[in-house]
Amino acid sequence: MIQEAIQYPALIKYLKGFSNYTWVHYGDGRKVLLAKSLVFFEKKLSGFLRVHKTALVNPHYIADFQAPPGHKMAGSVSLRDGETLPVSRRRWSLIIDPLLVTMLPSSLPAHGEPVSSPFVALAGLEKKHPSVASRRMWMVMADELKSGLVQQLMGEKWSQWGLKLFDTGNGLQKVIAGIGEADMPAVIVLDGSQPGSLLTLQTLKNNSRFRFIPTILLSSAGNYDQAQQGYASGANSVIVYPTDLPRFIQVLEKMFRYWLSVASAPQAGNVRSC
Amino acid sequence: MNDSRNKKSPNRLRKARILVIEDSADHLLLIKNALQQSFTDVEAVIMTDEHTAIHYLEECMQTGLRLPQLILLDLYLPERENGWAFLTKVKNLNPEVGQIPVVVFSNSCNSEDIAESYDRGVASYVVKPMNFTEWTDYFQTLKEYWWETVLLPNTHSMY
Repeated sequence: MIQEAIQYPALIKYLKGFSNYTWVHYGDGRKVLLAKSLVFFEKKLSGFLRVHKTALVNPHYIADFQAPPGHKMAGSVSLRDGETLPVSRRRWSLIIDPLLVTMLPSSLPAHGEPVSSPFVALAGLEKKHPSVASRRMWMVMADELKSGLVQQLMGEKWSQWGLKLFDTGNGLQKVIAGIGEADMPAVIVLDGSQPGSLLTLQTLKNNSRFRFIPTILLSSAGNYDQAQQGYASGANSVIVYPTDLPRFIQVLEKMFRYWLSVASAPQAGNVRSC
Repeated sequence: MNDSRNKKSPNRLRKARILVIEDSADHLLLIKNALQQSFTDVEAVIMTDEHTAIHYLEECMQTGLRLPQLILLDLYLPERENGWAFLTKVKNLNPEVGQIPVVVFSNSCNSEDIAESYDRGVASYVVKPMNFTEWTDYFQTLKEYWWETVLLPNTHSMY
């Protein structure tokens, strides 16, 4: 039961301790009460930040911090969905303050570029190797919660890959049209829950510059026609988009393991050795 | 043939069939061994050159024999032109056969071979592992992806 509740840490937004019990709050709004103290989870979830005696937070869901406004007052952390949690003064000076001081403006994402929470990098969770990230996956994902999960999973297990997320297929088409061979993504994933996704797929596959890029269509569940049209339009794979989040993560993991670890992607300057 | 693609069907794996085209006897042994461990319910049809493989697919079409759901293609048979010739023929046989995902499984990690294979319409390109123990892992991942994650094409209802 407990193992199951924390099997996919990416799904957990934060945990709230309550004497010997802990409420686990998930990104999708679900919460469960477990008969373990917060300390137990702090040991299991190594990347999470203990911001308060009663709160353990997944840095991926953090939007901002507010310093303690005055002497004996607590600071706070605001989450992406607007919720705030307290940050005790002692923990502020021990954990948060040093993190924020090391944060240089250059480490912040460029404007308009969708990246994960800057606080993830601060917490030392994501090892960024910008010079090595020559292999990139571009992904269209309209659902914010799901794109957050994609970022977390990639950061945890395939950090040598670069990830670029787009809200729409159109956005991806615009960017790809303007880049040179050396910046091409190695894999593209399209979000079939968007109306224009098949059109984007056809545009990519009918263009001799892009047709060699493996393109995977995540097809909306139950939309069998779309899946078949995906193959007819040249998709390298069609995957049915699971609606429940644990299953979504499992599918992502299998997709990543195959495309990012086993399959060889075409790319200019492919460094894979023989 | 339709229901083998039904995700809920417990027979999904039992009815599955994979076509393997491989000219090296050593690699064939490794492939057979890896298939036995990972693809327990998948029937493997093995061909050692592109002509017999095409012939087999044509026969399937003529006799109504169940087509493979996945094709594993060694590129150098012994030249890469052999592998590409197979690919071109398969893509032009008929739409149902043309949409069977072809996974190139090759020793070559030459980026030109990889890019050109994708350009010619392979579903995926996998470089054969160097290490003997990795073969089983690779096939395990192949099976988990193509049989348990992907929705395989089924144009049966369309043609």
